[in-house]
Amino acid sequence: MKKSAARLDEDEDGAPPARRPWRGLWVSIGAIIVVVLAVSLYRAKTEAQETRKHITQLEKELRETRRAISAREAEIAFLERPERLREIARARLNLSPVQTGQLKSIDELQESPERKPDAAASGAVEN
Amino acid sequence: MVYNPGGEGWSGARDPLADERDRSFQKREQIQGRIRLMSGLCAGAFLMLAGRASFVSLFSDKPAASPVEKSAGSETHRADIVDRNGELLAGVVTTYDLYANVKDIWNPDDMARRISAVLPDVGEARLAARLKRARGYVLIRRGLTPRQKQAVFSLGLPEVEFVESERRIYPRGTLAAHILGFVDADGAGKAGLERALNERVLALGKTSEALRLTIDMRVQYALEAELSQATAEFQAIGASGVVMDASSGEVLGIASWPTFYPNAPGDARPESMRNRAVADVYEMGSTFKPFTVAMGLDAGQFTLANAIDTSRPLTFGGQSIHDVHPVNGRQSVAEILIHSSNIGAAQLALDIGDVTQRRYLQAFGLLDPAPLQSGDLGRPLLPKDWKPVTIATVGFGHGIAVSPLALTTAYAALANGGLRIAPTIVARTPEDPPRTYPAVSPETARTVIGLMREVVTEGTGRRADVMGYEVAGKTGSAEKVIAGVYDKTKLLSSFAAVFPASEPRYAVLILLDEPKAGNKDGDATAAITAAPSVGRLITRIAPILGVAPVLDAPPAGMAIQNEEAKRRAG
Repeated sequence: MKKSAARLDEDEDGAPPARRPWRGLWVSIGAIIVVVLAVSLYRAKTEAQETRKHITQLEKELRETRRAISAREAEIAFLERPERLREIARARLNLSPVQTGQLKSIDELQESPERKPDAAASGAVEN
Repeated sequence: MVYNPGGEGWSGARDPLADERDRSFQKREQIQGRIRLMSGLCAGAFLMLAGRASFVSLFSDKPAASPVEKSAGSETHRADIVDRNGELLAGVVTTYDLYANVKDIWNPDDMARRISAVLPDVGEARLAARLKRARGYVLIRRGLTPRQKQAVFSLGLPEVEFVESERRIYPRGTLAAHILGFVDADGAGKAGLERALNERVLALGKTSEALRLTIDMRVQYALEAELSQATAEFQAIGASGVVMDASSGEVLGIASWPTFYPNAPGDARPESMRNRAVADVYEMGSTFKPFTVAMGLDAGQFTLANAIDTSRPLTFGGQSIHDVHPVNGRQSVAEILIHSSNIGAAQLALDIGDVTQRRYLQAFGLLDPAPLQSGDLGRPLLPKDWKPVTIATVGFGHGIAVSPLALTTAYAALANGGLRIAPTIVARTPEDPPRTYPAVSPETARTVIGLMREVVTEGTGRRADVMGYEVAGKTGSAEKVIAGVYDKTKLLSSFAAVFPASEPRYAVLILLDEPKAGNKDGDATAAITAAPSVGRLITRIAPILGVAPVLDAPPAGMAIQNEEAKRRAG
C-alpha cells in the first residue's frame, strides 16, 4: 500500500509513469477481437434477416401458387359439371347413359361364341 | 504583458509586435477550442449513432414486418369440401375488389368507358355518375377474378386499386346446395354444413385439408335430375330424395326441390332454401306398412300364414279406415303389403299393440330426429296419446310424421339385416365408428325385403321394377292435412326402396309433394308418380355404385309397362 501510494504520489508530482510494454498490445488485441466479434455478429444477423426475407418471399410464392391451384381446381370443377358433360357427351360424342342390357359379366364375355369388337364398341352409342 | 527575456530585453516599454502575437495566439486558442468542441459534438453524435446501431443490430430480434406477412396472419381460409371421390364441391378462390381513388381521377367519363369495356357488367353511365358524385374511394366492383384483374390492370389506370379477398365458391352450381349451405359476405357459414361445421371447416382450412363428404357427386346429380324431371312431369310443388348405403349409413345423395344457387343465396326464395329431405316431416302413408309387418313378425304376433278379413272398413267412433282398392274376403300378411291394404295394416297394428309398436318405431329411429351433421333436423310429429285409433293409423303411416331421411334410414335398417346405422354425410374416420341399433332380426328383415320385392313385381310398385337390379320397395300416397282436414286432392306420393333384393345394399327414397295427375284416370298416387322415378334413378346409379345386374328374367314391371304401351297404342 505504501509503495503504491508512493508511486501514485510520484505520478501526481509529474514523475514519468513506469513503462508497461505489453499494455498497448493487449488493448489492441482486445479491440481487434471486439471488432471481429461485432462484425461477425452483424454479418450473422444480416444473413438471418436476409434468410427471413427469403422465407417470407417463398411463403408468398407458396401462397400464390396454392391460390392459383385453387382457382384452377375450381375452374376444372366448373367445367366438369355433370349437366355440362352430359350435354357435351350427347351432342359431340353421341353417347347416352348405359342401359342395363349393355352390361355383361366377364364370364358372359368368355362364353360368347363370337366376339364382335365393332358391335361391342358401338354398344353404348346411339344410332 | 511585457516581453522580458532574461530580464535584459524589453522592459517597461511595450513591444508593438507582442500585442499582435498575443492576439494571434488568443485567436488560435479560440479556434482550436471551437474545433475541439465541434469534434466533441460530432464524436458524441457518432457515438450515439453507433450505440443505437449496435443496439438495433445486436439486441433487436424483431424482423422487418412486410405487408405480405401482415396479410398472411389475418387470413381466414375455409377448407375445401369434396365428395367421397375427392371431387370439389366447395372451394375458395382469391378475388379482388376494385376501388378508385376519386381525387386521382382526371377524366371520369373516359375511365368509366375503359373499365366497362373490360367489365361489361359495370354500367358505363352509372359508373361515370358515381365517380363524379363520390369522394374518397369508390368501390367499382367486388370479386374480380385474376383474369379480370389483369384486364383492368392492363388498362394502365393509376387511380384504381385492388384489394385482395377470399371468396367461397360452389363450382358445381346448384348441386347439393341444401346440404352444403352457403356463407355470408364475411365468409361465415349461414346454412347447411357451412353453418353446422363452421368451426371445423375453418380449422381444416388452416391445415390445408379438405372436408370429405360421403356424397357421390354422380349419384347426387342423378338424384337431383330425377327430382327435377318428376316435379316437371307431375307439376309437384316440391320433392325430396335420399340415396343411402345401408351397410354404413353413408348418405350417397340427398336432395330437395326446388333448389337454389349457393353462389348467390341472396337471389333465392326462402321456399327454395328449405332442406326438405332433412328438416321437413311428412305423414308418409303406406311406406310405413313394411315396419308394421316387420314388428309383428319379429315380435311373434303373427306369421306370414295369418289371414285377415279386409272386406269391411274399420270404424273407431266416428272415424273409419277404408282401402283405396278394397279386396273382398281375407288377405294374407303378404297380400296386405302387396295390395297396400290400410284395413289389413291397421288390424296388424292393433294385434301388435301400442307398447310393442312404440318399441319398434323407436328401434327403427322413427320417434327421434334422424341425425345428420348438416343440422336443422326435422323433429317427428308423434301422436299425443296412443289410443286404438292411433295405433291403427300409425300402422299404415298416418298420425305420425317423420323426415324423408328418417324413413330412408329405417329402410336401410331392413336392408342391413335389421341393424340400423346412424346416417352420416361426413366421411367417418377409424376413430369415429358408426353407431348401430338393432331393430329387427336378420330373418325378419330378409322376410320383409322379400315381401317388398313382391310389391314391386306384383303389387303397387310395378313401375319401379327395372331390369337387373331386383328393386324391393313400397309405395306411399298420403293425403295432406289442409286446415286440419285430409284433402283428397293433395297427396304426398313417395316410393321407398332397397336394392338389389337378393343382397340388399342401398336404400332409396323419392317423395313428391302434391303431384298432379300422372295419367288420364287422374291418378297421382305413388304407383304412377314416385315409383317410376325411383326405377329410373336406380337404373342410373346402380352402374355407378358397381352393382352387377341380375339378368336371369325380365322384370315383371316391364311386362306391365309394355302392356300399357300397347293399350295406349291400340
